[in-house]
Amino acid sequence: MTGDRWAMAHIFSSFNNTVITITDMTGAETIARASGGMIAKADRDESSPYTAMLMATQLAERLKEREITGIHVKVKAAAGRKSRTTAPGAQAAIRAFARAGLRIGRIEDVTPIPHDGTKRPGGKRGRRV
Amino acid sequence: MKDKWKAKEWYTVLAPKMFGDVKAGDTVADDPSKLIGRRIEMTVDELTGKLIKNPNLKLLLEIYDVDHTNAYTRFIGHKVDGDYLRSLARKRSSKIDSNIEIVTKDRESIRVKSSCFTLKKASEAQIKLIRKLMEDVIRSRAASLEFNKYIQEIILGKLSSDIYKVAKKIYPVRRVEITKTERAIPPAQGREDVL
Repeated sequence: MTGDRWAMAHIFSSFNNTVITITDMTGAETIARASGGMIAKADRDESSPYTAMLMATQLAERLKEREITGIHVKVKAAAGRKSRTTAPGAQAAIRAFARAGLRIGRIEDVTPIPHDGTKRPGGKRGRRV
Repeated sequence: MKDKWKAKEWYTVLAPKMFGDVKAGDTVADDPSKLIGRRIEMTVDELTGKLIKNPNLKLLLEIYDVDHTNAYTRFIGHKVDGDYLRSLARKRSSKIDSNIEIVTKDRESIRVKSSCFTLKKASEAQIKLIRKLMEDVIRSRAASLEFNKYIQEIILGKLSSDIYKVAKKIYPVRRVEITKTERAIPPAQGREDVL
């Protein structure tokens, strides 16, 4: 058994959900995955940091079974005409991975940034509630 | 799901010979033929064991051959981290880009993209001249070097410092980066024509 085995954690974190997919270094094979709905009862909790934490700890266990020592992280926000900053779930998940004893390599933001695109809803004067 | 996983095996992905057969990572598959064509990213930091400290530079490697549990890769291109480039671009200074396709001495063609950042805003004429000089340097180095050597010069930053030396005579230059290389190659075939 080789000492170090790294994997890649792709974390998609929007304000409505968090999805964590753990793949090998090429990104071709999925090792484990989890999303908010697999843990949270209420729809509104899917994106909460607590749910993300539970997801990460569960995944960390799976990874230990599969003899993975560390992960590189790729974080992605909702993007498009939605937010380009990650929701609270991402941070919590990374922290939980670290606490579960996995080594964290590079952390990268891979939010796709459009060079043009459709307009955000709300109109010129913004959303008036 | 569980059974499928047991059928799969781990393979060690090795960096190309030109980088000294370092381990690039691991990948898993149930059938070795599925490995071919997979791509892996690695930073120069990992490649050289922190001899060259440049966490912003990433290499893209593609698996072309598998032998037992070793997967061999070839160089597909590199790119400089987008965040880092964005930190270089500033107000009241010019960013001069060039994007050309070149042929190396051993007739290997690659596309080289580079950027040059000036200290202050340069005039259009200066920008055009710098761009021309950049492209001249990139072309002439390619004509006198083999592919492997050429890539190494790019990764070690020699090519960009060559450009820097020429460009600063025209206008004060803050930084020159070879931002991206792309190799256009047909999908993986045998192992003989690989560098």
